[in-house]
Amino acid sequence: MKKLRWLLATLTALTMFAAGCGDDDETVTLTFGAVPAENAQEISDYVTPQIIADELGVEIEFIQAADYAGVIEGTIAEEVDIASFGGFSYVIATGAGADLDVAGLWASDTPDGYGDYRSYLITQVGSDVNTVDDLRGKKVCFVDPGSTSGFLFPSALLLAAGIDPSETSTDIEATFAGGHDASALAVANGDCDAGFAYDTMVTEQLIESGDIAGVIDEVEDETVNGDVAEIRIIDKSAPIAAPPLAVGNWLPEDMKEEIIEIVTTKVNVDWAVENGYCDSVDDCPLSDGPFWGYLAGDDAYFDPIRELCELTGSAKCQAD
Amino acid sequence: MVTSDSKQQVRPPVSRRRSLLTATFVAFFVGCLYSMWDIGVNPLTFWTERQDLFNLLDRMWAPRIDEPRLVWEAALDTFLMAFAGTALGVFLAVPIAFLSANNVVKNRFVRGAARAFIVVTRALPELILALIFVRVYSIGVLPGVLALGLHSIGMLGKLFSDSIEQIDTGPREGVVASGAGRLQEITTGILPQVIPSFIAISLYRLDINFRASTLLGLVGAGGIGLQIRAHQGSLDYQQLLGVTLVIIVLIAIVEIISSRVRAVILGHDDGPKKKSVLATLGLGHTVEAEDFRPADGASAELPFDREALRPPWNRDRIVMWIFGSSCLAMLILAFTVPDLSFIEMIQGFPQIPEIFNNLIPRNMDWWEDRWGELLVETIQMGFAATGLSLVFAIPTAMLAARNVAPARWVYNAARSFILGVRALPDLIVAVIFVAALGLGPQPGVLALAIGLYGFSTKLFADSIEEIKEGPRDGVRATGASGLQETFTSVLPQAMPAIIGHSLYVLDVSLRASTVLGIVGAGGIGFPLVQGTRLFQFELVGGLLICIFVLVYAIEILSAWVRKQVI
Repeated sequence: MKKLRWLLATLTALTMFAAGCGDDDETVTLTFGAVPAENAQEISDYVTPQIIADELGVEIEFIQAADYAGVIEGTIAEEVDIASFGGFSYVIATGAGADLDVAGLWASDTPDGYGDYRSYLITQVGSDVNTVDDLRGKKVCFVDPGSTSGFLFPSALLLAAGIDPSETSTDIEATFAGGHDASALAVANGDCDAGFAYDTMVTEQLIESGDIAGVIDEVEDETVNGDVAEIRIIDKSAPIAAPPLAVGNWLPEDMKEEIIEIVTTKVNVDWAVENGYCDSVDDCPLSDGPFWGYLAGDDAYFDPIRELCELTGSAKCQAD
Repeated sequence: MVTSDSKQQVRPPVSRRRSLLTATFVAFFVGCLYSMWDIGVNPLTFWTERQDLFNLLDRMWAPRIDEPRLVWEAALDTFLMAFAGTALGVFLAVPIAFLSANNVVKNRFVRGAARAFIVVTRALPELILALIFVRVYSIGVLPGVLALGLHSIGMLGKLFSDSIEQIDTGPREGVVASGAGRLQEITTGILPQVIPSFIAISLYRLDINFRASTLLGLVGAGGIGLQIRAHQGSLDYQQLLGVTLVIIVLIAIVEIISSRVRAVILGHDDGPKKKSVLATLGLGHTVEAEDFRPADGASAELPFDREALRPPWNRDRIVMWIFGSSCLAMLILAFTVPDLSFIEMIQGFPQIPEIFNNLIPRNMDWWEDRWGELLVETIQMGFAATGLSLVFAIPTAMLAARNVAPARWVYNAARSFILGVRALPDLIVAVIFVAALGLGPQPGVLALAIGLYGFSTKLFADSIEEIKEGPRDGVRATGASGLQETFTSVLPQAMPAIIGHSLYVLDVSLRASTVLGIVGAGGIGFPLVQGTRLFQFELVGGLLICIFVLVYAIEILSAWVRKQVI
């Protein structure tokens, strides 16, 4: 028994010694989490976290998750104080117990109202997939199980055609590409027979970045460089509610109010240009895609997404 | 008369070896402490974060599996993937090992090229190879097989080549003297001698590959890891835990079977006498009456009972037969399951050089300062996880060492505990910790530390068991207490081995920390995954070169220091 006793003593001593080296922060540091919805190289350059940090007088640690679940879990564990993600992620997070409030809702071009966007179903030019029905037996690229335009709305589209969109589906081979750009590029490269991505990713961002040469729109009239296009749009979803910037209710009430104030009055291109964060309104990377800024909003705005979530019968929409 | 002079003589001289040992120890210790401090983890983190971990465990409880059939199929796929990958690795590694053995190939350039290939394949993590192969063959088992096969060459090639270099030259000289050609010399003079160790090494690799194959699904390379990823993505933690438990049990079973069979092959069961596997399998040339036909053409007659020459059907031979035939069955199965067609594999081959060609950076456009920071973070994660695991591993190792453990039951309990911990794949722990503790390097380090803890405890316990009893008896005879005995006679003896093993643990830790980013746990793995997702091949290639340099530098350093201290 003697041996055991001293071993315990050694263990305790070592533990205490090493524990003395833990760090204790003096300045307040908030964590800003974002999903890999778009190009990883650009997302950390967005000035939104910087504006909040400067105006609030705190440090902001920017974290980009490997997947949507990372940010969702981060808000549940109260590790991510401010989260930039989609409506569906917000619904999943709050449904799983994250104590979140809406700090702001996305406005696209002008401050006149919430923006909306759509999910596009794309295939390669020359592919034999022309309608949702043709997806049977094909390899379909979604974005992430937590993505609104990359999974929830596409799921609804597939379910309406009687196709099971889940990971375990035998109707299609479901694949999660990890990002909207990755999903569209996987289609362009032939890795997936068809895939989903949000609208401007297909019609603007990937073309501007030079990753794809052009796109043919067979639904409306958004064709860009049709003669050299690699991909074509064969279906479009209904308009999708504006994505939120969410803030944790665990923050001190006055700090939370201040964050909401900053987000809804200062995180917009006009204010950012005036205060020297951007050179011009046209070149102001607050977030991805067309982005004017954030408007005030509330939790009830996402009730339609909650309903749609329940319609898809997914396990993560069932409150535990 | 005792003078200060004679006292000095008793002290060991300050040799180069001792100062190096001290310097390494200090550098290593400082590296670990600094990294733990900078990343913000310490042994108490497990305690201070317990609330979050319990919360997640609460959501994970009770584990369940909705579709056992799917899990079973995925598990079988995973095993077949590991098996096919190992078979591919062995198939490729054997010729490369011969080319790199200094007693087979005299040409230094050929040997150097073969060695370089071995080193490169070892330094590229299989997960990252799988990521790249998923790009060529798309999601499925095939990229996993190729990744495992290619990465396995690193270890198999090196160990095969070592055992070729260690052969007894006698039989070979005999074969050469009988006028054998080059190929005959190799197949009859060398191959029969090395086959037992080849099989044992391959089995060990199968064990390692099976562990790795459970994770390959995380990057889309098929198997049970795909289910882990799906359940994690949909936040279905009860099923995540269910599948994780299945994986742990399977890994433990494969490890036990693999080590049992290895013991039989290497003859550990029947003393020092090494047996030829061919003989055990009964595949060797059976002596026939023809062999004794006199030159004058008289009728042949065996000078002894032929049955006496056949190896008996003892337990070992039965084990080997079962093992051999199941290997054959597995091999056939592995290459005939629908997901893994040879045709698809061969069709994809022309794309591989193209992919690797695309990976070569044409310029430095891919470089961003953030990569430098992430590389430093990766190194720190490696150090911090090593430090953290050692804090717990050294005390546990004493409980798990037969000669130091306070009681037999403590020893048994500690050993079984380690086996259980070792069966826990670090990346799956990282998935769980990222969910419970948030993103960034801390959960990654904690997860890695748990994996390394099992691994290093086993290494340490084994080396403590190897210490000499003499010094202990001496110390005990002077009336020392248990504490004094351990500090003056056990630890000093085991120290060089512990330091050497710690450096090896660091080596393993750094390799693992390069891929933790795949699940969002910090380090260089994250931009690597993003790069492959977005087809930015030059970025991926550039980062791979960084990882290669990092891993290779640590390997050289750790091997050099280990050579000095042990």
